Amino acid sequence: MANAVIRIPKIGVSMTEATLVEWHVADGGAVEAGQPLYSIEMEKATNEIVAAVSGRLEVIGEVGTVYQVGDLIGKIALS
Amino acid sequence: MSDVETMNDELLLDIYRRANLVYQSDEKMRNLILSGSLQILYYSPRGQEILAAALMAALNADDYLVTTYRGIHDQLAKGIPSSDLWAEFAGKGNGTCKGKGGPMHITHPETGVMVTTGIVGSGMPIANGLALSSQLEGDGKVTVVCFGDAASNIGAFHESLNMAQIWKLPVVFVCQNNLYGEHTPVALSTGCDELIDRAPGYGIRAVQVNGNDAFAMYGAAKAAVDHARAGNGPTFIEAKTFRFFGHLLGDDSHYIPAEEMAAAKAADPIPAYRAALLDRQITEATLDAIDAQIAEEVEAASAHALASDYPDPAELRRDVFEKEIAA
Repeated sequence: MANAVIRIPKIGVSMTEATLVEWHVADGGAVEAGQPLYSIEMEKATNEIVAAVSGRLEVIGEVGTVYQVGDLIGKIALS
Repeated sequence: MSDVETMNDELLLDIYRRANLVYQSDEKMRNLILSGSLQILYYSPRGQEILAAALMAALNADDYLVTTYRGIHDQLAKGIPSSDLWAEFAGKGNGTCKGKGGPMHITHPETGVMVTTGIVGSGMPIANGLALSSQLEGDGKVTVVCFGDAASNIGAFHESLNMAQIWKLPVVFVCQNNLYGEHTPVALSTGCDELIDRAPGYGIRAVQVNGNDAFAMYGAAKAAVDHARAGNGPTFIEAKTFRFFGHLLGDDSHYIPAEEMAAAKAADPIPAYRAALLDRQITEATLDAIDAQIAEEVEAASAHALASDYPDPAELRRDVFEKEIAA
């Protein structure tokens, strides 16, 4: 089955890293495209990131950890 | 104002195609950025597709366009080939500017896209220069310059409207008024109630239009372009619209009242235009076939961009001066 990767996105002008603060879907859970997937904190703001695709979530990134833009934090096995 | 009656199916489908190319490209772009596959700053035009499609359909292929960093809708609707545009957005060496411009500086003279600027309000004097060159050369081209509502508070806006009117330049100033300048509503940044109210001070022909209505927008644009091409001078178009994804992708639009956002989404111009075409007896199958063709184009263009190489570091020495800088 094909996997879609989930990497820390660049969503701020000077953003280089972010703290993963919450997964809104549990590891192994079903994900619908467009639903809130996880939240990151950067530049004093928390942003909710939605799922780009539907499928089953594989959590890789750990809550509370600081990641660089582009770091792999999860995968979605496409449904 | 609008020549709705004279808009034939070919023109209506042309606008549909341009708008949905923007719509699907924008959706793909947002998905790739939010999944971290593409690391660029992105100013989504979601909600403003119909405006750009109807506007560009009123232009000739070789007419000039100057736009801003929220400009992918203008650039695609004007006709930049998808794969070249996508490669430039991704900063790749085979992009429209060899990867040196990036999303903020898309340029493609072959399709008339002369300048994309990252500086608010800076496009209008440039557009006047392009229009002056057309006037002097007598090449019959019209220049369209797109900018946002907040750009009308910049000095260059006022100077440009005034100069264009004095010299009767073949230019159309299109303010895509999406009601927010970055995070500030127009009412908190602008003294007059309507932006069109600024035009009479310069004696310039001015039109206010619902930019999300393809028929009204095309009518206003066509009249302005014809007026300019005939040598009668500039027009200021205030086109009302809305944006659904904040100033910069990642901005959660918290400064936009929830009910205002909900009302705007309920009036989403993309499904509204599709419904209008179905009402005119254009079939679902026709529109679905166009959508499918666009999906293939967007998929191929985005894959091409992701797979392409970044520019060679030696490119840093090229395109700076007339001659390459010695290593």
